[in-house]
Amino acid sequence: MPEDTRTARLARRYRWLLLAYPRTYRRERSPEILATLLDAAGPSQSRPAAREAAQLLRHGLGRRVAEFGRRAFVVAAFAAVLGGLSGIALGSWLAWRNVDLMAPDGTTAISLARTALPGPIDDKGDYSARENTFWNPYSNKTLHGGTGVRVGRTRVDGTMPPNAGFEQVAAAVQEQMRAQGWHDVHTTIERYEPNSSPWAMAEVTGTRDGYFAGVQVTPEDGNPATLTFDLMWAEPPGHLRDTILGGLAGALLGALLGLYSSKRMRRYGRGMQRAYSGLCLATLLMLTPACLGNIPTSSGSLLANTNRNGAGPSVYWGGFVIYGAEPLAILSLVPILAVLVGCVWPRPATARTTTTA
Amino acid sequence: MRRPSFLILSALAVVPLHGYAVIKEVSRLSDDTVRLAAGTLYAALDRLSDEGLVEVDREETVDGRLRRYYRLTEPGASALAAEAEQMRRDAQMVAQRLRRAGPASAPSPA
Repeated sequence: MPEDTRTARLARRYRWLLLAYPRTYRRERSPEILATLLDAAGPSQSRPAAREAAQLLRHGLGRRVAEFGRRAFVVAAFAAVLGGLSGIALGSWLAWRNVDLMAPDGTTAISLARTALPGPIDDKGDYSARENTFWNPYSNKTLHGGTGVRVGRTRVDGTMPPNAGFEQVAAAVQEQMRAQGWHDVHTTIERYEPNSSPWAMAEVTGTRDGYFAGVQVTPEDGNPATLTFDLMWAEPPGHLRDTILGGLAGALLGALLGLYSSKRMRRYGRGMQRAYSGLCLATLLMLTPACLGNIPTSSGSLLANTNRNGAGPSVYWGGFVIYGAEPLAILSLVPILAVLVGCVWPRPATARTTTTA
Repeated sequence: MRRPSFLILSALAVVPLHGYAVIKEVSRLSDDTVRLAAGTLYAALDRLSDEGLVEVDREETVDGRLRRYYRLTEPGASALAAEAEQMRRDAQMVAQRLRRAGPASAPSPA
């Protein structure tokens, strides 16, 4: 390989590595560092040595950290976590937002119950208020108002076949659901303390036509045996995707906001810097309870169980309302807005003069 | 003071040097036991400049390559001398203790 070509290729590769340095530093120092790197290169070397590359990356990224300041990365890390948790819950909420509040209606529930329950069933469905499916203090057992996703459920009672054990009935339900086109049909049997009532319960779950059904069978134990069919919306197809995308977008947005605000606030004097740290801390304390409450679980979110038999909506507002977290979460907008105003506010003239001088 | 910093200051103690010359001089002073990577060299030079121990002497362009020469400042020379004195005392102390421990542990003459 000709000498000029080899040197040009090596220089190009070193320039790529020098991109690890902040732009201002690179503009001032990269010609000098590049000259040293080329001087130190071996006669037949056409690519950077691994050790050299690692040291350049380490030093370059270290300069970037120094330019932003350590505080910026701490702020960005916390903002990314809070943003990620909020984004997870928001993404989940968006996936559920198109669910019809009034569904499933009684007619639908009864027609689907016939495909799942052996034997005769009640001719009316009992629509349960959403407090059974979604924890929301504003619901007041109505279908309107409030701030959460409202996924209702309708219950239809069946008739236990005479002289049949609850496990036998559960097996019959499972077989019938599979035969009638229900998907993901599973049976769970739980046994409790011998003296408790009921002392056991079998639940058969499955999905069909966008609905999720849970059939509960309890044995006779002094009280009559029961067979109930609960119908509710199945998890929307895009739920997992929207939840993950929401989390990633929230984390990215939070991290960028943390880095940007930290960098912008460095224009100010010490007093404002302290105020900025205080605002960040206040935001963290106010928003953390709500965000922790919104961590999704299989049945809702960490602090707000939807009491739903299947994968439920992550309760976006659930965490905000548990244990009085909601007022704090709303109040956290005040320090966040104050930080944003501080970022875009023109720098005081006096400070500019001092800096220039 | 870390050894690379000590060696860089030592390299600059006699005449101002540019980056690659510092790498070569450090290698020579340490009998090839320390081979500075450019990233390490410039991280150390940045730190030493921030501490006021070295400063830029002049710039030259040779064969299209920018060479920036660094020199030791007065505080840098003082810091290097103090470090050398400390190392001399430490070496003396260790030699004395080894001599006291017995002939088997005493350093053999070079």
